[in-house]
Amino acid sequence: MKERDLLAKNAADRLSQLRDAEGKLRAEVISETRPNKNEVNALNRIQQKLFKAEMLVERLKMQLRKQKDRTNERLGIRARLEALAARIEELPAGKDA
Amino acid sequence: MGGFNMELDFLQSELTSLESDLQTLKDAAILDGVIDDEEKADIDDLEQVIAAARRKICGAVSEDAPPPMLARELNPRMMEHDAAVQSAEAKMAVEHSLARSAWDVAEEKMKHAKEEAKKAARIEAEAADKAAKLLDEATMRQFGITDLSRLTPKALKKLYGELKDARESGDASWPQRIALSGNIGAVKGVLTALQGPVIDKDDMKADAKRLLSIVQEHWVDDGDEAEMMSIIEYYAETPESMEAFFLELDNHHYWGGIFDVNYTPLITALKEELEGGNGRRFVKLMNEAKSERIKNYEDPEEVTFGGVLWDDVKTGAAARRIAAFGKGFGGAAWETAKGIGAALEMLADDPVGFAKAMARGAINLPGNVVKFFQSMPERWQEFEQMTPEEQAKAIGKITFEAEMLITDLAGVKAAAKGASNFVKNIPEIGIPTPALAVAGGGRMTASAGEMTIDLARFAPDAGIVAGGAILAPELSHMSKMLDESPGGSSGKARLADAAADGAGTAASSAEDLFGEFSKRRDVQAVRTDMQDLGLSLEDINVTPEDLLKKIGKGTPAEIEDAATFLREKLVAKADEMPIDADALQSFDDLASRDPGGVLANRAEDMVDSGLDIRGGRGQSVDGGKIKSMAEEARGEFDNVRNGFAKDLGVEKGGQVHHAIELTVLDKFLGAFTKAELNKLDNMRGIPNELGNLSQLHGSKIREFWDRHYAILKKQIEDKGLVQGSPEFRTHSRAYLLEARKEIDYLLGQFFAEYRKGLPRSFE
Repeated sequence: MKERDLLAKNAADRLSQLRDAEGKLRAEVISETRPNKNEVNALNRIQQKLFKAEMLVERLKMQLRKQKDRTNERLGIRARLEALAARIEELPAGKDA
Repeated sequence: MGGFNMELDFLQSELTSLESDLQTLKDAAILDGVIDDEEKADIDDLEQVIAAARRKICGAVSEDAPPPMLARELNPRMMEHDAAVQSAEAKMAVEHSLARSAWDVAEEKMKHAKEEAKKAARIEAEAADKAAKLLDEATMRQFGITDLSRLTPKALKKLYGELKDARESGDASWPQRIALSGNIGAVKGVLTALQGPVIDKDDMKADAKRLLSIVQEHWVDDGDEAEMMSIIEYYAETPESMEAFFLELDNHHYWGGIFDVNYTPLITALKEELEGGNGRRFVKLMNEAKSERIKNYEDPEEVTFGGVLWDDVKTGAAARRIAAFGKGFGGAAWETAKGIGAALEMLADDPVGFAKAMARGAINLPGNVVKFFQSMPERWQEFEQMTPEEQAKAIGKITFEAEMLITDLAGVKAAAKGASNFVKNIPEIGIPTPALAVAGGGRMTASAGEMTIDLARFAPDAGIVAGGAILAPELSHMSKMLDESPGGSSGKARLADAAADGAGTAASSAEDLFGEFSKRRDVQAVRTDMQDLGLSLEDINVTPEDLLKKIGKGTPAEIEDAATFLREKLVAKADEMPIDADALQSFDDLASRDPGGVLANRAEDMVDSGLDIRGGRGQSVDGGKIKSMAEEARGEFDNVRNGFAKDLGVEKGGQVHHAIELTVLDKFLGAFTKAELNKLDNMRGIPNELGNLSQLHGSKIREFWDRHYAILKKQIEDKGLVQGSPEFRTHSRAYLLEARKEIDYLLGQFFAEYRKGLPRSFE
């Protein structure tokens, strides 16, 4: 789980760097009087890829959040179970009685 | 007994509740799709613990033996007491808890609802603010997931609509449209993620319509193509959406064409308009489509212009039409029409022979029809790669364009008759012609203009150089045709408008000028003089004072007087007129002839403002192709190069070199004029080098100039000189002249004229 946390964080950082780089490049390209068609197309493709990747990272983060919530709930269940087990221990054994 | 059982019941139900909670967690993990080993092991363990607890409870309860009794359960009175207390307590507890929970629940709900409403309103307001901010930035940058994830679906939807409006509004330039398209895609992506993958039919229809309007209304340029691709790529994200989009595209078509109304489905149009990689990408997407109809898409057989014309040519209809028009005009027109008719007959009978004869120049077509065709490099290249039959068709097409122009001449002729007298008088007086040139009416598309003049031979009476008034409809028609025909470009339509405007302005200014001037000069006398002198139309197209000198009427003082008058008028008028390259040239010349005078200053201002008007770009338009000043100058130089070669003693294999290169016309706008750089004193002879190397011209001189350009550019930047400003021009000019001196000093010994001892223009 920690590995995935790290992965999500690194990916998000990297993507934000890439997004900055793309932004700079785009500003440069479209500030030209006659922007190069291929460059603009390539930038658009990069944008789409970045966007897709960002969506994936967001999804991963959401899954990790949910997983953490579930772990907490399981801890609660375990605590209740332990309390219950203690009460069960107190029960007199039927057959022996 | 009771207590034990109650305890058991409690434990059982608690276990069941734990079990169900665990099951819910397990389901959630499975649904979420992420369940790792650690989690799985933990859940398994919990299940086992629960099962063990159950077994333990089962062990405590035995069906064979009666349940064990607690000590106090043995006393019946205690039991009753317990029961009574318990039941009362239970009852109270139930009542209390019911009351409390009802109240709590109500209060809780109220509080919650209030908070939620507040929160929702705040979020919505924030989202609206953010969306408004994003809309402002939409043309400048690409939205990221962080921008959009904070928006509510409502704000997203609104933003989506506004972005689309902005894209459709037509105010956006093409890079802005692309940026908008990208952002529209991003917003839609987030909307889709929030609301599930829904393909919006209306959007799809709107996008298809947008594509339709691009292919139908514009000549598709790079920007349009990029926009088209951004729309297509958006749907190409998933095969399903692409499929749906293809089916939508398949529903669209348009009726249009050049001479016939053709049925063109949108998919066919897209296939044709998208070039190179984009085209291949589109076809690939089509091939990947599920629908057989898209995968095996066949373009409907088009009624092409070439086909129609070819039929016309074969059946002789084209020849007949041209002959009929020519006959209507009589004289030279008839002769030319007969020539075209004969050529078309040959074209029909022997297309291959025709094409060959055409290449040899043996076909009697109007010279400029051929020239026009040759002046368009793309067309010419295309032409070279055609089969002979296709070549014949293409030639036929050009001829047909000529035919169309002839048709229009009928209308022009009628218009000319109705035109005011001044139009008739212009060729004879000739004076307003430079004014026309100033106004840009006489220039514009060189090829189109030449062709028009060429065709004007058909109708000599119409006043060949009647100037803008007559050229304008021709030019606009010509440009319109070019615009619609393959190989033309939408720029020409604008050109035509400009031409029409320019011509209109020119006509009225010329009329004013003429009116004023005619009060001072004897119009009839000037006309007679011109005829006596045998002045041709070209002779008229000179500067005012040159013309007056040629006419030779009046004393030198009178001529000077008239010239000054005209020049002043010209300068005054020119303030309001569009300016073209030639006009600037003539003003520059004017300034150099009258240095330091009021006129010179005005003229210099005109040149400067002309540069501004032209956006600081040394460009002119020729045959619909934007030409730089250097290209233009190069074209002019080509006509005089051989003369210079002789003067400089350049032999076969040598070159005539511009000491100050023509490229400075574009690089350092206004520093020099074309005429200055194309003069003999700027020419240097480059002898043929041993082994046909180009060490001097191609290497050494190049090195010098590259270094100087870099230094000059640096200086301009450091001084903050504005392109086209007088300071900019003076500085660049002085620097470049010094640089030429340096190169002459260092390399002069190698130039042909130096070596042959011929007169040379450097020290």
